[in-house]
Amino acid sequence: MSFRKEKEINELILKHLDSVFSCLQLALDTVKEYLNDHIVEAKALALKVDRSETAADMILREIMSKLYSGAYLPSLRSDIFHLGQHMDGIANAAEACCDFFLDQRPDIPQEMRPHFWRIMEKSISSCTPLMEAARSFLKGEDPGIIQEDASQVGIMESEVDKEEWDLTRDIFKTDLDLGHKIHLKQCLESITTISDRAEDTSDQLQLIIIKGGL
Amino acid sequence: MWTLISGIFLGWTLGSNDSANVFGTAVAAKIVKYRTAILLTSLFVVLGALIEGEKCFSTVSELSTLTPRGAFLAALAAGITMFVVTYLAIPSSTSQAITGAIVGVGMVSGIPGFSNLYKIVACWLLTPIGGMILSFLLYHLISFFIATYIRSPQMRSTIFFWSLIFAGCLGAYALGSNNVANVTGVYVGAGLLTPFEGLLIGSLSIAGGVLTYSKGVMMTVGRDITPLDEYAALIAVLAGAITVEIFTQVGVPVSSSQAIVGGVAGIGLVRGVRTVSKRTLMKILIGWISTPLSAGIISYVLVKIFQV
Repeated sequence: MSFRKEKEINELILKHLDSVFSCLQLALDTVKEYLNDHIVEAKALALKVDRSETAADMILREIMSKLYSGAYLPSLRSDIFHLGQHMDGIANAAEACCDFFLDQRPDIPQEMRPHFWRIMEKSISSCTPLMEAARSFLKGEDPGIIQEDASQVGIMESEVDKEEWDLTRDIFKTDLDLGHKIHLKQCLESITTISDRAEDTSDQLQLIIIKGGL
Repeated sequence: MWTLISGIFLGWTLGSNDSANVFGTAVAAKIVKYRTAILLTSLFVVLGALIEGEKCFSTVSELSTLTPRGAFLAALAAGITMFVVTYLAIPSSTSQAITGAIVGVGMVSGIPGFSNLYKIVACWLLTPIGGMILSFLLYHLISFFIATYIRSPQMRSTIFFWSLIFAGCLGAYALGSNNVANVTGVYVGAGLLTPFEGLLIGSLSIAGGVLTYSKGVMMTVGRDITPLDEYAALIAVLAGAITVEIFTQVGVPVSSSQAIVGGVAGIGLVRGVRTVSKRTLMKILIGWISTPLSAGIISYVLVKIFQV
């Protein structure tokens, strides 16, 4: 075992993080264009999200291949791979969200669009401290700081949950037919799944740090 | 020189049985390849024997004054005993086997000279205790260092790997320096070999056992004693190696198996969990008691048959 394999994997993980982050930013732009009724632009961006998510998948596969060819100690291998899988799950959620918007074309009432946008922004933002925590973990920085960043994800996810609850209540208070209400609720869930996955990933990261405390 | 055959056989069984103690946990955890482990073990066993192996010769050779035939039969009895326990995949003590065999020969021939026996037995008892204490101390010391200064998973992984290699090589060196006297000490004492010849032949026979027949016991030590994580494996091997090397300086051959089991038990003390399964511990304890007894009985019978 030398530094070389581990260094290559670290670089791949950072590349994977960048890919996931890019996917999230593109998803945010996609929903923004959709909510502004710019469907053509939204479709083009959704395609980029799809490509970005595919690129993240390929990087993850390369990470797995290198990990299990002998890099890192056995206990760390599975931890690092599961962390990568969880991260990839966030990109998948972002892609699924864009697919929902462009495939199912939810009819979001104008008065609700600012609220949908706010939740989308917060859901995507909850991933930022997670990315920071993951990068800090790979660099071997103070576990306390990593834990703080990882905990921040949970706080932000709770705020998204609250906003989701409020908006759901508002949706079901309207005069829209039940089918429409349910569709809007599903649309909302596709957005909040992103922050849910971010929280799961931050839990995984915190577990790795606790295990690494010997 | 035909009398050396039994000593070479004993060395071979020692190598096949005891090499597991230095790299067994790392090989079973798939951190180190089996081939790498046996090559490093062989090299460092020879180095340890040649550099410091003479320190334990006097303890073995003075245990009882043996004739060349007596030396042959003692080594043969110990070798047979160790071959059987290796076949049964029980990590046992060559030191106890050869001591039991020498005592068996001595009882028939009526040759006095068991003054060293009490010192030897005391060291056997202290070996697992020493391993346990050292592993307890090392665990705390090294974990503090790693948690404070080595946080990056990349750095930690690399350092652990090379530390396991270092600990294994140290363990092999200690094995050679401490146990070569078990293999050829009786011949040196009987005047059949010079000390250097004893060190060379003894170490090469141990290396032969490592290279040809160590896989079974290596997996037993690695898997069955406890499913150790990399850190615990490192501490156990390091504690075992240092313990054995301390007894080399004292001049008494001891069991590397007992030292490492003590090391593993010490980790259990730190973590508040049972790290040695009862079944395997019982297997080992039976081996420790029956090994010197069996070797003594076999040598006694052989001597009676051949009328030394």
